[in-house]
Amino acid sequence: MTRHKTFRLVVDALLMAIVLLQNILPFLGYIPLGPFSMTLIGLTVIVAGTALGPRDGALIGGFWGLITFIRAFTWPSSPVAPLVFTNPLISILPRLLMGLLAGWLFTWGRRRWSTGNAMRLAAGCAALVNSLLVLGLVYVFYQTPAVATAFGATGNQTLGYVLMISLVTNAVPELLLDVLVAPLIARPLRRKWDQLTS
Amino acid sequence: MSKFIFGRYLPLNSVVHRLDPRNKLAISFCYIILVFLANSLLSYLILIALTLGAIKASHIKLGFFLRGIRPLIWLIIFTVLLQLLFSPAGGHVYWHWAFINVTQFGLINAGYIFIRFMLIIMMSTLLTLSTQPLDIATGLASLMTPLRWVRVPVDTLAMMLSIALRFVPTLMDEAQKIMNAQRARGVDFGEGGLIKQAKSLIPLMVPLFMSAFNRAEDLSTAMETRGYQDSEHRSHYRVLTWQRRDTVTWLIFGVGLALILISRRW
Repeated sequence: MTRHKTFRLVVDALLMAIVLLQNILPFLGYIPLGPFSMTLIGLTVIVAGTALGPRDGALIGGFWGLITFIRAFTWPSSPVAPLVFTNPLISILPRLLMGLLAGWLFTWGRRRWSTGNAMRLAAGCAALVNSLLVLGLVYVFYQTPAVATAFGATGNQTLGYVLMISLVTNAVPELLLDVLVAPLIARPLRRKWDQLTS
Repeated sequence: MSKFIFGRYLPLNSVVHRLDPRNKLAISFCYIILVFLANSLLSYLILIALTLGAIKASHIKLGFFLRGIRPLIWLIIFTVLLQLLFSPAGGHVYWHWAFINVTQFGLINAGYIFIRFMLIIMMSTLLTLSTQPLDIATGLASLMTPLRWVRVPVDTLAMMLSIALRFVPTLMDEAQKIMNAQRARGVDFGEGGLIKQAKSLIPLMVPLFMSAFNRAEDLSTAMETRGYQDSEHRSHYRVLTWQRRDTVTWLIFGVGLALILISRRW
């Protein structure tokens, strides 16, 4: 039993290292798309959720969110990051729920469909939830004047609008990427994890 | 990639380098709050003086910092421009009318945001340049200790964090090695359109994750044969000590805080 506990700890640590690496090496973390970019870090979170379980997915997702939050202040990843991700609700919550959902949906779908289909479903929904939550929370916070002024933006509907369009154009390719690539990575890992824990 | 200096460590032997990492982390955190508290010209001047003083004390050349900020400068300018162009009355309709009227307000606002980001980036870069990654992990773990009361497994998280930081360079080498090996077989990385780029990621990502998984298996076996049971009930080899210089930095910081609170426009 301890055997599998230590292994889980180390695997989570190494997935955290991959997330850190994807933040440090832009090539591993992002595919540039004009002024905005598509992130590959969501892929790692989905892999953690589907290959190991909802708890690990939430941990890796939360870790990504925390990095996004800190980076928005110290080392912005994109021009919109300092405006949006300085709010922990927008930076941390969607990522955390994304990992959790990937794990839950996979265990739920696994009983009904093949491993591959369950993984595709989990990856798609997780990516969608992340994008929708970020988009929705930005929308919510840009409507209230108190938060808008706290962001240094005085009553700008247009900025919120621009942000939403960019997020929508980002969400679709990200969703496709996650659905297509995540199962390829997660499946061999899942097999191994099942061997170890059973 | 080598242009980024954030997150790198510069081994020097200055006062700042020898400070307690817990202290440095706490000060950086409070500094960010302080930066958002400042809202008048005088308070920003005090902040700039504090920051330049800290950089001077670290014996790292200012030019080194500025070179590190250069890759980020476009991001910052873009953000500032967004603020400048959209904060006065917004959008397309009021453009000409608002351009004359509200610009002064938007300009000051944008200027403040520019200074804020420069200061925060400089200070956080100073933190990572003067502190070893493992020291940051140890410091974070000891700052998280109060969370134990709300049943957060602090020791386990600290263990994970130090393993993760230790393996970032190893995995980086590995990623480079896999990329070169796949290039030798004819994979083009970072070229072509979106679909082509995404496709070229598969022969990199799958081996990277697989090898991380195998590494985790080896590492956990090695840890257990060395008697690792769980993260609680362990003693520590690296013990942090609070020294007089740490108290002195807090005194200076406290004076700075008081000055900024006085010179702030309420």
